Amino acid sequence: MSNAIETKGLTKRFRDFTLDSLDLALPEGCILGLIGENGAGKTTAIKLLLGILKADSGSAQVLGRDIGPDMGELKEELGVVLDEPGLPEKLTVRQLGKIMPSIYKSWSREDFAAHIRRLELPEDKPYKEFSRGMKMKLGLALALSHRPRLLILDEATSGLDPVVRDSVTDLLLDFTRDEGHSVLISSHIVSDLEKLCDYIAFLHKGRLMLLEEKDILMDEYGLLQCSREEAEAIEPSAIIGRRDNPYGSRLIVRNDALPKGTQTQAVSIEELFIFMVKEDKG
Amino acid sequence: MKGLLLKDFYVMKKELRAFLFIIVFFTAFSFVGKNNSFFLFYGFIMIPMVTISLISYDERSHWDSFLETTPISRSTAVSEKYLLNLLLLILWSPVVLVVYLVQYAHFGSPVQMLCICAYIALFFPALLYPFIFALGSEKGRFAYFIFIFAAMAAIAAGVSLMSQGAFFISEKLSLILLLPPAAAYWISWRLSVAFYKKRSL
Repeated sequence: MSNAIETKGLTKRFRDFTLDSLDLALPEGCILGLIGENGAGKTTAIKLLLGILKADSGSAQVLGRDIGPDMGELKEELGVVLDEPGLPEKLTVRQLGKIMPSIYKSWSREDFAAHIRRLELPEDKPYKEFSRGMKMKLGLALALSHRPRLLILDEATSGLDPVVRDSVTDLLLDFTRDEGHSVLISSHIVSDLEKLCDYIAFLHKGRLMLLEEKDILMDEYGLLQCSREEAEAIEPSAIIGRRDNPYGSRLIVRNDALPKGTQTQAVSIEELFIFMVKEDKG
Repeated sequence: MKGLLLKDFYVMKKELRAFLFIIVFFTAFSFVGKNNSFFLFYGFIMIPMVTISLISYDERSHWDSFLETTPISRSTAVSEKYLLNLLLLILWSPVVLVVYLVQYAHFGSPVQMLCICAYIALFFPALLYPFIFALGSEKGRFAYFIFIFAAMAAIAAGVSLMSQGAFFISEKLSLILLLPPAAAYWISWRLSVAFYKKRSL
């Protein structure tokens, strides 16, 4: 299986922040969730992948092509929704439907009309009167209507109510039913991505802490609640994160490094992320 | 390019009616008397400002960031604004020509008039736009003052030439003199493309 996105040592330095040597791989046909707190470097990573920012070092390939200044052809195959979709406030869905065929060669009026119907968006209401959820749904409809192979969503689900989030989830799952379609989705809200993603990447302070298949992650790590004495007896290399309280300790542990027979509970991606971030001294 | 022009047309229709009103009002003022020739050129000052307002509107609505996610190149985005400015100037020219023929025809030939219009309409956006594309409409705002000052001075000079009947230049020379503003506009376009390609959005 080839990768829809592959980066090697991708680095971008700013005065007060560095995205440091990012090694990312998104296999074709999969959904990768890029999780990180605000300012972790998610948007920088996405801007590098889109060629909006120029990397200081490292390389990146998107859909098998090197990223660079001239990505016009490649962007025909990308659907992108940024945190702020960036549409003129006075424009309506109907007007956007007339503009977009001149922007994308492969724009499908039928697909756009179908997405608008499915997402129940009004055609003649100005964009500025849209709620956050409606704006994001319109962003998605625009991103999907030129039949992209790769969808890149930057914080697109943040701040959406559960009903809208559910319809967005459905849309993304429909999109990845085609094996050639892939999704990179970033969020600082872990629960948004937990159900949706095949792969999870943790980004913290500009460094990639983890990139793993979600199912493996769930098998590999566990939550152990025990007394402090029992916690002390566990091999330190097995412990990913630890929190002590008056009643004992809560540990995120690597299951394969524990003594045989030790029972752990399933750990959520959110817990794993928080533990890893808090343990990180970098 | 067609899509970008269409989008700007929609935005102008909704957002920039005030500009149209001001342009029509002042041009009409020049039509009222024979001594208000200053306002004859007012539209040529305001039209480049319409384009700048559209750039500013794009920045505020993050349309510039949206375009970065599409196949539209930065070069095309800049070129569209230069083309739009030219189209608006060309569309407005017949109105100015009619006012000129009715009220100011005694000031020289239409070709000489065209020469003055070209200087006013092309030189100033040529000076201003590279600042806007290099720095953004907010930071590039200081250039507006240079623009307004230079434009007013040029109009005053043009009006003075007209009122003195000092059209000492021949029609043939007027046509040749069209070249510098056209060249300035072309150079400005290339500079703006180069600056905008380097700007971080």
